[in-house]
Amino acid sequence: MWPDTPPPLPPLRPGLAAELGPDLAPAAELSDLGLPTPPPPDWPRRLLAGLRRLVRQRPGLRHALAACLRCGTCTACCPTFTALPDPHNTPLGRGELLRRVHQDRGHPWRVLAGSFGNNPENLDDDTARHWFNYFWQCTLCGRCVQVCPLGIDTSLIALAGRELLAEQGWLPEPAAKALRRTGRSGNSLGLGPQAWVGAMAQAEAELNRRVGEAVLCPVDERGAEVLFLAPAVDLARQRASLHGYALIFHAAGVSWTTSTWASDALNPGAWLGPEAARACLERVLEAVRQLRPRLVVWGEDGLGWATARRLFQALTAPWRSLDSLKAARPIHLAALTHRLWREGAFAGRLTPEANAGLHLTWHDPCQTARGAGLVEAPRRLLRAVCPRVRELPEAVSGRHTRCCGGGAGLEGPGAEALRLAGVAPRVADLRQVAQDHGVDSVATLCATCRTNLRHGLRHFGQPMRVMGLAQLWGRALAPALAEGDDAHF
Amino acid sequence: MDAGVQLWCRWLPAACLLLAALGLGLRLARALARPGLGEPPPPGLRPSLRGLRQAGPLHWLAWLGLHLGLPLLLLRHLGLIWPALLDPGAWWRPLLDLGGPLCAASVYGLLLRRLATPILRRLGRPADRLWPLALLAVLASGLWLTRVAAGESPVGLARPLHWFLGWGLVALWPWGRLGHGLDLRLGASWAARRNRSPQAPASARTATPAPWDAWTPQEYQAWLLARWDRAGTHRVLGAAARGHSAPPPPGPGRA
Repeated sequence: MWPDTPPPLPPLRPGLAAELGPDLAPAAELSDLGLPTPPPPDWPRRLLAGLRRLVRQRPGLRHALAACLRCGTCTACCPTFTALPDPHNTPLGRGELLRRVHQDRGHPWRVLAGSFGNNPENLDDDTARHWFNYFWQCTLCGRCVQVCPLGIDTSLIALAGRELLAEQGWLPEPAAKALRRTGRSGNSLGLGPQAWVGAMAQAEAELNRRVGEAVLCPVDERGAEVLFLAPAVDLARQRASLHGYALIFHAAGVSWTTSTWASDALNPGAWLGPEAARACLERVLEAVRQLRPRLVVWGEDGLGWATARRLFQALTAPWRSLDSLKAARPIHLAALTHRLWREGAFAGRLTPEANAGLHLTWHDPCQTARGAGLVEAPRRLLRAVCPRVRELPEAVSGRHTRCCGGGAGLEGPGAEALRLAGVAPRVADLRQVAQDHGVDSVATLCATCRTNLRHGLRHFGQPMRVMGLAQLWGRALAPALAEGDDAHF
Repeated sequence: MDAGVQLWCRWLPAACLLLAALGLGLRLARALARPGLGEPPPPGLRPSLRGLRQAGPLHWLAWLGLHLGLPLLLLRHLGLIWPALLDPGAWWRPLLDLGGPLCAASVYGLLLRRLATPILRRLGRPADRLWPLALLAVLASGLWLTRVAAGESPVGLARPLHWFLGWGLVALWPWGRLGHGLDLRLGASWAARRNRSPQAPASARTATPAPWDAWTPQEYQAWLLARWDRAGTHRVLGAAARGHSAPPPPGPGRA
């Protein structure tokens, strides 16, 4: 029996999560990004000026700060609070951290407001440390937005806090590394052009050997129909998904290419806010101008796709007159595959029996399901290639899905405890469906979810396979892949 | 009409209504005419009342009670200028009489929830408890006035307290956090229609944000037909061939 309401709130443990958080980036990384190191002595003044600037520029943030009724509805659904019941580790608590500094400052009624306990807090090192830890504990999953009666996007507060801290030189090491590498090489792994070509060639050779057919993994091919952005982690550690992407394009007869200039679907700028996200996305536009594809197809990365979907059109507007960008549209691989499949592009090529040994459930990534509305198409695709699928209950799937705990920059060894805490509620869901229905595998549409779910399931002793949708399609398109796939688990 | 009565019954309500209308108008104007959201709204996220149900029965029952009771209570006050509404024999009279107790019980429930939930007690502020207390004071003074009308109690401070607090809440409502909430809903729905990001180029500001599949059926059909025409004719080289045959073409990213 599945409850349609979340479990009661755990007892509060103030300060529990105060010291948890990602490691601070070293000075060299920060200098490379042009950030001050160490923070300037007058950082409180600068930070407040930055906050005023953001509040002026972003009405969404202003409303998020001003409209919250502090009803606490958002607390019960927050994955990190469920695992670490620290009052500040909630959307409400994180909002209060920023609100207490900002609210009523300079307001003519400040004296009156102060008499009701609304005095603005002063900024000091302790406040900055709290901000750093708590704002980087938010996974930007958006579950709190969905339950807020006023529709406040609390992630805007976390993003604003991160951006303000970064401007003063407080940035987590994984985020700094990913940003620097993306800025230099176009992917978060820091693979240069030759390394990318070499890795793709290796993946292609491996795929051809296993499938026994010439399936291409092209790089920098001008004029290909599709510019594909794969999560770089798929190339480095999860090749089965990369093979799936290649087989889908191959079977549908779509010419595609990756770019050495912008090779990663991940957008680390989205961990910091719209400005940094735009900066990362600019590289993709440059690649589009060079390679002139008809479509820009995003691979299995949730936050990267949600960000591209929101920003792409505004960014491409200045170049609409150019032929190279006139027809370039961003689309998610699952959406494209779904359309091709419905049009019969894969008729007679799918062998669902290759996945008959799997009893699967589906994990909706927050950013594709809640952030981008991609809910039905992936499910249909999954059922097309997997005979045995068992859905998670509605209360924790689709738009109400739970976070994998690893999104939004919670990377690196310093944040491992947080990632495990964040994934714990999801592991409990999966354990339940495994016990009740004998499910032995979980499929998803995001490389970050795959990594973190795999880690969490292993840590909490739940023996389940974690697979990508493209990987399952790859197995159905080339059953030979399924034979050796077990070696990858 | 007596000058004192004029002040109390005409000018004070008029000023309060004017303040409320000004606040609402200002919010409306700012939500619709502002250059745009600095951050594009996430289109997949929609506010809903689902969270209220999840937050526990006390919260959503009290919320429902307050939102049902308050209109009934305000309607009952129209009886002061339209006596037929307060006709004791009318079928709607018990319903209108229910508004006050319903409101009082709901506000009390909401206040109780704020005081009894550990996280709200810890993160809440005195100001959060002020508005339920003010509402309770209005309701209590209103109850006092009904007893005055029945001749069971002297007038005392009941009338000025009820009058001032009631009209004060009406005047302040659009300027407070509930007003911001209204602004948020208006602003978000407006921004979802138009990309008005100040960072976005002018040509993009009136464009409709792309849906997730981006194409019209006609565009897709045209693309598909063109693709079928070329089916099976790959024009691209694989990475292996690219790596071993020719150097990458000149372009960005090849330092």
